[in-house]
Amino acid sequence: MIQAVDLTKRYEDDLLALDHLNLNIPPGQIYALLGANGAGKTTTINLFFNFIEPTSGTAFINKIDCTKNPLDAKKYAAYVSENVMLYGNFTARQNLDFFTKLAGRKNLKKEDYHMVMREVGLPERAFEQRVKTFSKGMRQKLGIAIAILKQAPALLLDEPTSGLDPKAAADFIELLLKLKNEGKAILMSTHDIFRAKEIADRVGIMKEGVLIMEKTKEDLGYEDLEKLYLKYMEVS
Amino acid sequence: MFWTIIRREFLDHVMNFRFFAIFALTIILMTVSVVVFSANYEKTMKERRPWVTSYVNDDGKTELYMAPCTFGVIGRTPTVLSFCSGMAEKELPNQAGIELNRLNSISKNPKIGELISDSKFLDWAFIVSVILSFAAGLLTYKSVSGERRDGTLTLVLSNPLPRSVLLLAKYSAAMLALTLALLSAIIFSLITLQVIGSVSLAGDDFLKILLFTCISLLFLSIFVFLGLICSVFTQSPLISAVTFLFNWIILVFVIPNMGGIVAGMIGRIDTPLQVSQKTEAIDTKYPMLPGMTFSDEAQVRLERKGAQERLLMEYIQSLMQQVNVGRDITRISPASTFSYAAESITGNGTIRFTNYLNNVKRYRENIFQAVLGADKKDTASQHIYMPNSCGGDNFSKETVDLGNVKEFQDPPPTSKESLDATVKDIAALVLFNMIFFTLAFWIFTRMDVAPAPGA
Amino acid sequence: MIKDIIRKELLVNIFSYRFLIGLVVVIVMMGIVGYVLVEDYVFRNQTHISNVQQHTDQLKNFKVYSTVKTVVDIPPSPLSVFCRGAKDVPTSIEITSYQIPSVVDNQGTTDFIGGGGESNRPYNPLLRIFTPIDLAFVIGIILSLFAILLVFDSFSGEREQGTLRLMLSTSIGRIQVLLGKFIGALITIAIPLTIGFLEILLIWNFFPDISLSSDILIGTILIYFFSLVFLAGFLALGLLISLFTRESSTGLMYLLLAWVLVAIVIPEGIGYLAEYNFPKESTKDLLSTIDKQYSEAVKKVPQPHNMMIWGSMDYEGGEEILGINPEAIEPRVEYHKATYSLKLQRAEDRNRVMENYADRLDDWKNTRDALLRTSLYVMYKNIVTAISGTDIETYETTIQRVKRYRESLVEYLRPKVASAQWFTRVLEHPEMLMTKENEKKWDELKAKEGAEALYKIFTWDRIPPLNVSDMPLPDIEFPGITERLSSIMIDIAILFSTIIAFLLLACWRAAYYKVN
Repeated sequence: MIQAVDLTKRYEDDLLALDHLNLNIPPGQIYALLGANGAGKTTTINLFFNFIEPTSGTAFINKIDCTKNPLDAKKYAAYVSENVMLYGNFTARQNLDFFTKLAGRKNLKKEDYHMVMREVGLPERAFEQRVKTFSKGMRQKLGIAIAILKQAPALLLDEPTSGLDPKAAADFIELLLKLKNEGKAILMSTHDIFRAKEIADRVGIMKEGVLIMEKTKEDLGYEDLEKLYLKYMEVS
Repeated sequence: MFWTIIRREFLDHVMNFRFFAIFALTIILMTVSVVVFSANYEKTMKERRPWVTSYVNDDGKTELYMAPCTFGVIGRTPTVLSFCSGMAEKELPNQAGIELNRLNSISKNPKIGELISDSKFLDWAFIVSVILSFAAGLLTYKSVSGERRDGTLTLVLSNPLPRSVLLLAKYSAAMLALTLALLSAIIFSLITLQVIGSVSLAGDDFLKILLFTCISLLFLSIFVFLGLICSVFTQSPLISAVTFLFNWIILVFVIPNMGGIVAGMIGRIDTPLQVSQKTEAIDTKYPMLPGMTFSDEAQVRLERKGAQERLLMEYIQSLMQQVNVGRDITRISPASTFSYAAESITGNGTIRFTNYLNNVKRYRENIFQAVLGADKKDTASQHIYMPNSCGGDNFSKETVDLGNVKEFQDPPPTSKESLDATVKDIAALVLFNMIFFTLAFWIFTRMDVAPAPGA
Repeated sequence: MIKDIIRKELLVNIFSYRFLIGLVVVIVMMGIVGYVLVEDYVFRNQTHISNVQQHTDQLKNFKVYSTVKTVVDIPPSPLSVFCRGAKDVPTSIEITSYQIPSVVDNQGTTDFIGGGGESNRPYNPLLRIFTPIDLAFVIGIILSLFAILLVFDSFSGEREQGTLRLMLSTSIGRIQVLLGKFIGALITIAIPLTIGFLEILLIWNFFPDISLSSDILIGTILIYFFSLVFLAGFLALGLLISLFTRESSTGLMYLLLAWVLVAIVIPEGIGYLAEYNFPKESTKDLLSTIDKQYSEAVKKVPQPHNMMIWGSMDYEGGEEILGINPEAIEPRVEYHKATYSLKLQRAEDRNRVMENYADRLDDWKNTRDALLRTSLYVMYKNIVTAISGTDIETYETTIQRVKRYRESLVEYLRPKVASAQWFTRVLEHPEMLMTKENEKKWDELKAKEGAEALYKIFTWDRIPPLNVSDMPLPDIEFPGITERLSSIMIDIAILFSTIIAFLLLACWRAAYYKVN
């Protein structure tokens, strides 16, 4: 579902942000992408959505080339950014309504929106409140609600749990598991190795644009992941 | 999808304090403009006489024998649509001196007390070209760069939405907001005008106002695109704002105002001395020969008058030409192009000036022919019209009513004339739109919408 | 400490694009506008000098007393390059017994285009269709905009960047930071201003006819000073707004909205709104009543009959007669004695009407100007116009002085009414007396040499001018700089208080400013 073949991105100032990345995430699988700041995680996600163009290689969503047919590809992928900012002057429901319509789904009723917002754990009183009053956690939840309503088979999240308190992060992880069980392919970039271990079917470690290691859940123990991460981070 | 975005953007604009400020400012200023104009217009029209009193007495009759040595002065009637775009023509000469057979001079007659008062005039075109053009930027400057910084742009574009559609939607939303403000202001002002009642607009006038509105929107569209361009090429709304403002300052304040300075430096016109010399040359060209009869002499004098009038018209034409050259230079700025277009489409400005002169010429010629015609009916007269000479037997001594021609008709330029004069400027505005649109489109579809690497 | 901040601000500003672009635009505009206006001044000055010469020569050429008139030529102000000032101010004032000059005289027509003229310099009155700009425009509109662009993100920008926090983590006080930024910005904006003024000095140097008297230099320095003060006002306002807005770009837009209000909406909007109440009473009716009264009174004065004259009548109230029969001379003198006082009376009555109207205009104008003083830009223009001497108050003062001079002229002329030289010189040139003997001679001459020969006898050219060396000449003292300043004291006071108010507000706000 989510596939990268030799995906490379070199910026104009000669910074090699991504070097021949190869990824394959089938439906029903969560892939956690770990790495330090500047490792290339966000660049990867940006390439899938054609926010930037690759220097070489291809990104595929549902076997559609993201660069050649971006509009088609975007139908099948939902995006949650690292810091979900929405339209502050509008309420949660209005934001949800707007993005859902953009995703191509019309004719949803207020109750449908309320249901999803409940599902992601937003308090009732927040439904008709302006988003600029929301905490980061609430915004993240709304971001996921937007992604859920899109009903796309692929889900790409950029550092979704950064800045969330433990309870909110735990809720979030639960949601992701539910989505995975519904058969979605999920790519999640994160710093949070503990959550990654908890939830991911596979884990990849990126360093300076290169995927230096990839391991499945079975291969990993708890301590191993931490040791591996630090060990590979040290080598520079 | 398109409408979803327009709806959201439009609501965002309208809910903002900025929009309210613009909306209020525009309505207030346009209404003030209309109210003050109608008060002054009423006063001016009350004082106006229907005919040129030098040639027609209070009882409506003309003393034919006085006609050849009478000098008259004809003032320009203010056009009803001056409140639309009549600012510039306030400075142009507003009266003409005539004899029956010659246009003698044009001059400006300042009203008493104008010296002390430093009178101002505010027209709609000014409000549109300064306030609303700024508003266009105010609405769009962080349309893209703000969303990019906020992250909503990526969220929006993670959906199957072509970038061009997004750009068009943002453009449409801003135009909708501006149209709302402009139309509300215009309609409110026109209603106020009706309520006050001192100025009555004909159907033709409403058409011209409609055309003015369309041209205004065409002009504002350019600045919306400009705002979008500034918003699109940078990530920082700050830089967008500053860039837009630089452009606005140069386009709205620097370029249009340099026109006068530059126009005076280029273009060749005759000096007054040269005009004097040319005038004297006419006497040589049409000489008085010895042995000429009275009738011949009259003929020569008439020919001289005709030549002098042609000389004057040519001179005025050359002066106008210099003005037009100055204006052409400032046409680099859409703000200038818009002012000139607004002027001509409502029948004001330079085409009104030329039209007025033609009306004066026509009036004088009509009265002249009428006087000659009335003289023909008088059998006691020798039917020799000697310019600047009165009281002899050569011309009729009767006093007659000349009929309808004695009233000075001063209709403003027709719709067709206005349109003809405006076509080039409208084309220029369309061209500006196309260029700015292409630029905005080109940059937006090629740029990286993602924030810079580092995450 | 504060010096370091000033230095930093200065460096940051100078190396920014905004400053460079603003600098270029201002330099170019001031150069072009300055050159054109100085050249125009030089031309007007030359015209003025030749007018003065012409009018001085005229003084030596009066043939009779009743048409004596003097002219006061108002010199153009060299500082007019800074501010064109009131439009259509007359450059010369004619003084006769028959009319008292007033500020609201209908100046008649301006921008006359017809038959040509004497000037050898092309002049196009239609160019008035363009807004006339001067240096006050460049400084007041363009430079003030660039001043705004310099300071609007002074605080909010540094807060966004995070450097504000760093700066305030040192022991420097917030007020010091504010003052440092203010002074730094002031020095920055002074750079294009100074360069512009140097350009003007250079341009003045370029024209040889301009002598830079101390008055001009003082005026220039004062205008420079007040321009700086005006710009400081915008800087203070900008800093103030920068302290209030969260995001820099919103701050810029609000600041610009404020600018639009100050520079455009208030001067043009309120200025135009005030036109609604413009006192448009028609003075024509009052004036025509006076004229009718005068005509009635004149009709009652006994006219000499059997008067045979050869001469011209001056429409302004005087009379010039070349030849007249001797019996009519004495009665004509009596006639003039009687009508002269009537004419003086009429002049005073008319002037009273005009002055009443002028007073009403002044009241209206004062109300309007008081409202307009809410705008920094208007106050700045008032100040610069007054310093450059192109304001209407200067002209009004001059008119007052001319009026006083006229009284002395009338005193001089009054006794002369009793003599025949009031209207004719025939007593000194008896060959022009319309006597029977002379008529016979003229008939013979006409038969011999034709009608033209008579024109050789009856011509003013043969008559020497009157000796008017004891006539009072207009030696008008045009208001100097100190006098002109007195009319704008209130504007200066408001200007300064506004800026201080802005700065105080900013200091207060800076103390509570949230740094994060």
